[in-house]
Amino acid sequence: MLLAVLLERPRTWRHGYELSLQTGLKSGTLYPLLMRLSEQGLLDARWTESDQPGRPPRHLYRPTAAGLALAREQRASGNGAPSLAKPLKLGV
Amino acid sequence: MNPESTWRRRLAQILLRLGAVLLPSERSSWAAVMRNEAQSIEDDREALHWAMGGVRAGMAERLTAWRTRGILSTHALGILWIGIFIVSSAFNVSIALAARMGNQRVASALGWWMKGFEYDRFVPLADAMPPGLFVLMGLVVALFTVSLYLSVRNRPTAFAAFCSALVLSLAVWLYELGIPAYMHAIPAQHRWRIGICFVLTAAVLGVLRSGGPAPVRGQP
Repeated sequence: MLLAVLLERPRTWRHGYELSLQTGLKSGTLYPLLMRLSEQGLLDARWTESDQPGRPPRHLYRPTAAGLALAREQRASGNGAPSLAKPLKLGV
Repeated sequence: MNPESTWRRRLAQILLRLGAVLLPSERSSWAAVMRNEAQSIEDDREALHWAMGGVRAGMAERLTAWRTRGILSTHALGILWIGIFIVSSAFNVSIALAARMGNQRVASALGWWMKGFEYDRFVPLADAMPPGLFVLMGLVVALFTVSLYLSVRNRPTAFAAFCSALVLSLAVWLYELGIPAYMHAIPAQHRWRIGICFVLTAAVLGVLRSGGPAPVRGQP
């Protein structure tokens, strides 16, 4: 499901909380997935300064070419579930 | 909003620190990722939930690391479980023998580990136990020890040895339950503990037998 959500806007960097809202995954499930995807080279991650003053930098994610290929492969085989992605709540 | 202002924020910080401690060293950099993300969440309640997830993630990663390194394999847990059975069955036969032989000092020293133990109440039970029961209790210890040895050596027969020891142990316990002095001698807490231990072990064996997680070679 995570890869399917990432496939929706593959060039966009997204932070963890946004991914949690979109996938419906809690942080306890999401982070182990992000760790593995990053480790396997399926996910790019980088730090960015927070747009809110006084807040610490945040981690952003987007799929790598390999991650995109895997997501497309999963979607083609019916394993992906892009429709399950929840709409993003703004104002986070 | 000051991220440190409410009790939820403070609790979230504590939980995130706990999550950081739980994370294995190779994943330690993710602690800052989770902490900073929690601080970026406006709603205190949401931030607290996020932090709870951080603890869960830390725990999951720690368990995965242990499994990967073989510290928490099913086999290792099986060996630990047999070890517990050996210690408890050896304890049972030792305390009963000591009481039967009138060695109050040894029986009382062993009884220190059994909450609510009283030597005077235990002696009638030991006296009512037939000699054959002591032999069977010794056999239980021996069978559990054999199953431990076979498990460590990764022999498939360990499973059968463990099951035999467990059945014999259950038979001995049921016989003891039939002795009128038993209820008076053994504290209720201890009786419950023994019963739960049998039920739990039987449940695990049942799961293994009904096609749950495949039994590891030599695992009870």
